[in-house]
Amino acid sequence: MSINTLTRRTFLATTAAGLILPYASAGSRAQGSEPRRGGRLRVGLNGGSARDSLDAKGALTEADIARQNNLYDMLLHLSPDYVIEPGLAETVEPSEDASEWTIHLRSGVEFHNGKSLTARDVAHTFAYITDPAAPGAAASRFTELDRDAIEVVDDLTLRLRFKQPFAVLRDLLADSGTAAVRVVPEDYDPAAPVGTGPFVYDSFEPGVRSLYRANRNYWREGQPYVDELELINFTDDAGRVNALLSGQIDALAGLPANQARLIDAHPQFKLINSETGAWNPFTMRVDEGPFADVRVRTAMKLLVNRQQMVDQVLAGYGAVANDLFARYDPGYASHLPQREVDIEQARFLLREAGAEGLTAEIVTSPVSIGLVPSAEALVGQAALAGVNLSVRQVEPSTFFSNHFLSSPLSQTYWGGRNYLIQIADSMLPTAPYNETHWSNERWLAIVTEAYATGDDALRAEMVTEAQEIEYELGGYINWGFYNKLDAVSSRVEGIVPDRTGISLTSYAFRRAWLSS
Amino acid sequence: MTRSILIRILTALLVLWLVSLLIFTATQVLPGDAAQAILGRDATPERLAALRRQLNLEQGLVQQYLGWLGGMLSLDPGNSLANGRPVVEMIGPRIFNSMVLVVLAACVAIPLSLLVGTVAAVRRDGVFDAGSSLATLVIAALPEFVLAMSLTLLLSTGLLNLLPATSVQTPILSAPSQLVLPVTTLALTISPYMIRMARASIIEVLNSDFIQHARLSGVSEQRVVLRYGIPNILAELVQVVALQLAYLAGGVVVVEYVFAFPGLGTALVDAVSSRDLPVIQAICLFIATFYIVVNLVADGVSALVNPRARARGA
Repeated sequence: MSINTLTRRTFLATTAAGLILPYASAGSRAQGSEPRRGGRLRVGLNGGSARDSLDAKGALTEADIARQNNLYDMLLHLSPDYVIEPGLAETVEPSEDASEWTIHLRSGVEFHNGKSLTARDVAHTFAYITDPAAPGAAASRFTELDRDAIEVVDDLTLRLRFKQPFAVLRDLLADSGTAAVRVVPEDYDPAAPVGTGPFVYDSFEPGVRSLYRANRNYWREGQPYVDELELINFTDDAGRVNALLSGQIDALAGLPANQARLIDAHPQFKLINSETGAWNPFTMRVDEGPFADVRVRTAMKLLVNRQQMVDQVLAGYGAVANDLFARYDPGYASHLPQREVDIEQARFLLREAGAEGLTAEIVTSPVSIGLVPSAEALVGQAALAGVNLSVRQVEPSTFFSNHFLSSPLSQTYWGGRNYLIQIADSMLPTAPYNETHWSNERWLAIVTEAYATGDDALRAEMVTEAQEIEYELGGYINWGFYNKLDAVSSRVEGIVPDRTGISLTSYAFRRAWLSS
Repeated sequence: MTRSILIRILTALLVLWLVSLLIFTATQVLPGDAAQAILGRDATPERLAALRRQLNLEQGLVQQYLGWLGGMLSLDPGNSLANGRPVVEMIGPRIFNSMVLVVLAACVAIPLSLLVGTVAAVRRDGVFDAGSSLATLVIAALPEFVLAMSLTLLLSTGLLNLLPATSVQTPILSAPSQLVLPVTTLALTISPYMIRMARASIIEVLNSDFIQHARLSGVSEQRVVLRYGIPNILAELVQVVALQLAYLAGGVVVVEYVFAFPGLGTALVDAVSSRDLPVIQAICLFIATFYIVVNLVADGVSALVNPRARARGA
């Protein structure tokens, strides 16, 4: 976990890992017996609308991720304990300065239509998702990719060239979020989606459900175990839980924390409690408004009662954070002292900054776990330091079109990805979602060097250094990492806790089987 | 007669046109457009521009509205902005599903209300009357979602495990048991008004002179109620039923949401959050048309069952 001496943080992490163990061993005990084949696995997804998409370029929500993770494969993937493992690629190797990468593909993999996977398909995939006329979610991450210089070396080897050193390619290729690189064939047509994934497309009603058949020609030996996979959309938490309780579905993604103890105690259901690096912080704009003064930002960080947030907002299913993110990154700055509530110091800093009795509005929207409740909790906590906060809740579309990225004090939500790919989304000058309007030259010099450093240990040190700067000056108030809670019926085996923050073992239903 | 029907149809078309104008204006007041709503947080400037181009959102407002109106006049409501599918193909099955709910709820609620109302009227001030009066008051006071959740808890997830808690199986008729809870909820929602109305009307009729005359002539009480009582309240009943049906077309939204039912209501909520104008317009116009048609039909039926109105119409 950490090369440093035992700190409170590593201690917490170790204990948390201990908490996961009982579940992990429950999973392995079941895995000890031969997985049973057959049956239809019915899964209730969180959310769904007419916007739902199977297009490998267009995942927008977790429900999209769930469908796409089963239709398509990625070049690399993350194991449940957050280790990068080979996927369709056997190796992904950088040149010395990490500006040129060679991808070697697994042989003998076939698409659902029987066509063999070749480097040309992967070349097409990169061209497809970065198409300037219709860019996909991943396009903003691959702006440095030289699209015209993608080279097919031989049937199974591909070379990518980047305009700048790009040491994070492996992290990006293993990320199964909305901006994942999902491999599609050269003649890909999103209307009849073909991939190499464990399940084959059967039918799809946007916002309602989709059905898949097992890919009996799947390259992972023995998988998938179930014959059919049905993914059903639920926009309402209560509806999803009710469907599980009444036996209409076998598993659900995203269990509200207040239902977790009920499910855990119930003999017919299993709680999948995943410790993750996912974080839903407050964002303070560092460039203008009241939070441009670093003393005000530090005061805000000191008035947050983090444990109370975890207990109230997450019903205890989470861990206190130290304003930093990317907790599973090898370079995570775990040596920095944990910020605790210090009302005296907060008042002092506010007085220093001439911001006593500061008044501000938190703009929030129920777009992810605990946003609105944590905003409400912060109002009470800030009042203790004489800060007058108020909550302004708006509906999601309004939030993203009018407030996100512009309000001085707001909120955001992120999965637990490694540092350098997270900042490419939210902190670099080129980041599309720089909520805090962060810009710092010293920090930028360090991370720019990190992007050009192929050596893993060296790069990790640079990440630590960048986080030290951010710890002092950053605009995020990250009070906690939330656990992802899911529930399955007791007859579902093979679903284990997963650190990525994506539900139901990153929706890898190839692992799942029905015990009866 | 033909002239008055023609006038009513023309008025209806005018109303529909005004509704479409109103909805268009209302959606323009909502912040953000379809491209923004679809991409959500992923709305990078590049993706936003590309999607706006693709959805023709760069046209002026008037042009967008006229384009849509032109399509409507040739009976083509266009394509959904959210996924590019034809609106008809998207909401056709939803209309069917919602209509199944509404019709089933009406088929349960109307005979039930008439029966309960009549019995309560005949046994006025008895135990049944007091009980049904209390029950209808309580049920009428409960919002639909409370009723829906209580039924779910009672029959599906809590006390008993008899029925599916949600209606996620499609096509919906493939698993009829999933319709029981939503239909019951809707039937219970509209019944109290009809029961109270039926009871009051029958009491009024039973107290009238011609019923007294019938009784004095030795007609049995049962025959009095069935032969003279109920037929005389039909005109009024049809109006109340029409009102409740019209209410259902809109009120079904909440119930559909609770049961994750793939109907018009959930589609409308979804379309609004996607700023999917063609779908919003089509659904609202359908509901408005339903209102108008149900009222027209009710007027017609009232006239048919009411000798006086029949005479006036002729």
